[in-house]
Amino acid sequence: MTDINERAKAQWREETTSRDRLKEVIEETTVYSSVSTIASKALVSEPTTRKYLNEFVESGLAVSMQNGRTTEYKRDEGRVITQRIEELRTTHTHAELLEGIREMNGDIRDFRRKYDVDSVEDLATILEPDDDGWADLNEWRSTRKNLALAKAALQVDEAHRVAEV
Amino acid sequence: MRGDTDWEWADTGAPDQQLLARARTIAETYEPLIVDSEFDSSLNPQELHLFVSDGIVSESGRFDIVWTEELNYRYHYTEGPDFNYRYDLHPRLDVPDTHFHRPPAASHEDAVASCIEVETVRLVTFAVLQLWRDTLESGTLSFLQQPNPP
Repeated sequence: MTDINERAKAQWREETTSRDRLKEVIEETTVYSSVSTIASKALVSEPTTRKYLNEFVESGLAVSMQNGRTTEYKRDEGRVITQRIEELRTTHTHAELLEGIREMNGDIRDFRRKYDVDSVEDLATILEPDDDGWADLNEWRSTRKNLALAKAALQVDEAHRVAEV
Repeated sequence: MRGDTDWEWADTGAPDQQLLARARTIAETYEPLIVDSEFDSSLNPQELHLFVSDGIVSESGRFDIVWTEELNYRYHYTEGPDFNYRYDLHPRLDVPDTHFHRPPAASHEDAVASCIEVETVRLVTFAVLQLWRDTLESGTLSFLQQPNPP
């Protein structure tokens, strides 16, 4: 039995192609990253990584940004958002979405009251390293995003209902 | 989830629904002893729970998992108040960012460098579940960190 990291990598290599692994890595690359970082995570050579990353940008899976002389890549958030809205719309009823929106609005109201600030950005400016509020700050950030997604799902659902009458 | 832990004191980034969903799919593929899984909320997920039908010191256990937009993670394993451990990746000054909170308390002071070096959701999830299974089958708690792999 070898080291756990080597075991994990060996199994992944066995089950997948270079392209599969690169696709999986780019789909979870939430911050702009260099070819070498992505290649190392995907266990693929840099030239092969570069080739597939360009293909992924073409197909709308990834976006790229020039950083000096190097190109950096990340997942296309627009695609993630579109998929999530469709998923929410098709797996939740109108009433469930409304109830979720009501709850998330309530959560955000509670964060505002608890810290006596108007926005998550205001809370970020008053927190010091090692303060207790960081978990709340990050929950607030993700609640804000999930609230926007639920509202969008409701709107898209409405558009479908009107169009399909 | 609220508690006296280093995860609460660091800017770990916002929990990411897509990464959590991926961890769930991967975990269910790899570990047959996972009998149930759920998000704490379907519309506003902050955490993934995986329920396992066997335990290291008791009859069953649960993994509480978070992945964030900053690619930090938290895999907390619990069999109730008496047995807990956790693999974390997040900023911390006194131990490496990738660290392990040792059982049975998994407290702030119990943190040591983690044996998990892989970084993707699939590989970290695989490593955490495999270390759990190795420990379960061997009955040897040191397998959670694999200091001397057999």
